[in-house]
Amino acid sequence: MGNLGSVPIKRIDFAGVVFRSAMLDVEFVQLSDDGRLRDHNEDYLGYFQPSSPAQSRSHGWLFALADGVGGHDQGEVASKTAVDEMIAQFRSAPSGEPLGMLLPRLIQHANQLVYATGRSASPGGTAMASTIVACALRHDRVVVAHVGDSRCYLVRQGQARQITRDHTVSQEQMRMGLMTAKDADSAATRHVLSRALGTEMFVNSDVSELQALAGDILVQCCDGLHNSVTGAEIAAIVSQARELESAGRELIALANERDGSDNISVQIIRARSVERVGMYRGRPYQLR
Amino acid sequence: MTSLHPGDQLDNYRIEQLVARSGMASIYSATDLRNNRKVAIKIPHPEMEADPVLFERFEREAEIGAKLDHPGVMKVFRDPERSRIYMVMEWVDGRLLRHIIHDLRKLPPERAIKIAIAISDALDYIHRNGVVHRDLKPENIMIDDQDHIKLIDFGIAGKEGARRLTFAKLSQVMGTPDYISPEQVKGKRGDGRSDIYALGVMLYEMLSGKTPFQGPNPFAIMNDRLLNNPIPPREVNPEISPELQEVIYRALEREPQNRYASANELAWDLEHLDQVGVTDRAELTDWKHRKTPFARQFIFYAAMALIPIVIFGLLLFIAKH
Repeated sequence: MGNLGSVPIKRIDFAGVVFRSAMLDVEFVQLSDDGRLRDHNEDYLGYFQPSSPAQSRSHGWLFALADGVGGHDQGEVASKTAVDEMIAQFRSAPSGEPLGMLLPRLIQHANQLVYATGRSASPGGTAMASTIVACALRHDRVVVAHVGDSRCYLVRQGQARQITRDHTVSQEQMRMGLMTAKDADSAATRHVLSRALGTEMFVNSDVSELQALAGDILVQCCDGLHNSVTGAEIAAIVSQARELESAGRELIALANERDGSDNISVQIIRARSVERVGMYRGRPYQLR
Repeated sequence: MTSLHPGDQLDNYRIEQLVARSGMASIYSATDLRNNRKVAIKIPHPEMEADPVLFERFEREAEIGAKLDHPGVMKVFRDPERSRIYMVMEWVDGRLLRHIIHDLRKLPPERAIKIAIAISDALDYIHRNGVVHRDLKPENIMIDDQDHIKLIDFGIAGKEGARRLTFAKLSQVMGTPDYISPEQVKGKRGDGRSDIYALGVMLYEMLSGKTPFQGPNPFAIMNDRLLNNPIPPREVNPEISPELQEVIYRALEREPQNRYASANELAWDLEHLDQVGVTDRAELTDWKHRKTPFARQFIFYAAMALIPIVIFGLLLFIAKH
């Protein structure tokens, strides 16, 4: 615990790493703060960093952020279980398995584990649950998968694009044309998750696949951040900052200043360079 | 915290037996040793006491129950000197309306009307006292041998819950999907007219044996009331008079401003069905045309798919001429 500049950050998980493989070059930071009102943190963040250029090509990078739901139901256990399971399974995944197939499979693994952990936690079981957002990078591809209302933004040339769509009741109803965006933002159901890890034996994750360009920044965050900081503000802060860590701290400070009633977590990932590949008969080859 | 057994004494109460156990609390029958009165004691489960939202719900129920005094509302007795957290309520002999509907499937119209009028009277009282039930359903209504009713469970009658929840716990903050009003489905807090809507659903269910809106899951059931009309009650049960059907439609109006403004108005119409004017409602014919939220999306995507075909056709036309 301690004060860092003007930001009363109570807990920081920081891992600013520059890994320069021959191809994909990534730097990132992950920060988590209890917020101003809570005395515990139900968010959990983790990453998988390839240990060699060969592993970078065969597996790539994985970043996962989970936000546990519901204090009494051990939300912090659910989020940690989900992230740890995803990373462990990613590490042992077959080489070259397409990320678009791999990530939903890992999320389902994590879901089953959270579900089973919840059921075995007490005689009646608990309603342990968590959101999750995970992005994997390999060559020049980014695959984002999520369940719940934790988000991933792609910041490119100073503009933020929300890759994920929130799995909340009001957002689902808005997409179905049953309410306006304005109503959805103020509805009581904006806090009610329509999908979460651990509530059912099986879960459907949404998956998005993108081509990464050098300089792209991915920002993964929980609702503690995106409820009070807009995508445009996130884009402005991360694209103007020289150091990712200072951008992360600024985002957390802004969220705390405006609300701070929830835990705040963010992962910022910058692709310094990417390896452009083409595919021939299912095998990647390097493009020049 | 130790569990209680028959014969145990809890402050001024002697525990008789465990009568019900829900996800939130256990309910015991007990005797107040000061006056030999039979009471019901609701004791929250320890895990509920640790959950701020559920515990607040429990406290709210006790607070609201203590301030209301009406024969149609279960009384809650205040007692400041308690060694642990629990709620003492009047003992009500009777059955839940849910069990009655389950056993009889359809209630005779006269009996359903009598119960609905009694519920309306209780609703009118609580609304005049600034309380909205917000989770009215057959599980929350006790009925005795003479069909006197008691409203129970005012757990979500109070403040809005802002904490994030999973869909499975939706009813903790919003109400139960079958009985929820359209404005609550849209995420609004709702007012007394939301309770009137729920009563309209229960009246429909008492008379027809099923709830008006159906769907494969609670989310679909909730949303169905925003798009579609229920099967006309008289189609399901011809014993229902056109006037009674009209009253049900007025209670089930999608827009709150078109609904009965007060429970008193609904009770008056039920008591004077011969004076209810029957209108030629669109709902009587529209109910067969089922709309889905995906129809609009389908049209949109179909239109998008047509764009390249139209462009290709135009190019072909230009090339030929």
